[in-house]
Amino acid sequence: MSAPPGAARERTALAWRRTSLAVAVNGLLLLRSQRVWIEVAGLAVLAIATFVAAGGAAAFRDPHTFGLLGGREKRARLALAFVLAIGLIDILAIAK
Amino acid sequence: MLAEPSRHVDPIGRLNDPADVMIDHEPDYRFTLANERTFLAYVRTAMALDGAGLAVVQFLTVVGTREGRALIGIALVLGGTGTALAGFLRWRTVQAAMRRDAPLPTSYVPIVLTVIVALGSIVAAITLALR
Repeated sequence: MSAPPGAARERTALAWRRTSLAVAVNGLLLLRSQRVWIEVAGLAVLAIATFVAAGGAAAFRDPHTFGLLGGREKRARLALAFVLAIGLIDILAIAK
Repeated sequence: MLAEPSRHVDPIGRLNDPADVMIDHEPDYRFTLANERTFLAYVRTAMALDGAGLAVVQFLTVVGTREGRALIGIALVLGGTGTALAGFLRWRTVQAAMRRDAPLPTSYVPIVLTVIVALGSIVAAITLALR
């Protein structure tokens, strides 16, 4: 099977990179907290943002990968769980 | 002659009719990718709201009281949480509709988000003007 034509995959890869940057900004803001465990959580968020960016870049190099989600609900649930966890940590950092 | 497929998908993407499983198929990869990009746009919006909530508390230290800033910050983060949830539900509903060649469902989330962001901007502008 040859690589599909068009730039849809490239646009999606770029969207993942933008998203990982948005996650990284949240991690950096968490690093400004005065509590150690929130700073550790910020570091974890930064690490996961880096992993997503690197993983996305690697996955989209394969012409048979149609997105990281690929229409699969389990992966979308995992991404949602991660975003919700960041929200929870943000609330704890604000309410400290 | 092929029978007209039934196209019953509820608002969160679940099937109402078990017969629909029979017509389920993999959609064009471009549509799947477009749906994924839309989901990511919701995630970025959620991250922006979360970041704004943290920024209100960390950077606007001379505006209002500590409790007031925390309240606004938590409201923004909760808005982000709601946006992420809405984005996931929207992704799932659209993916399910595409798999069944059904019309894409309408969504009120963009309108609600627009109103929330506009109200937040007005409150921020008034707060800064009264400083």
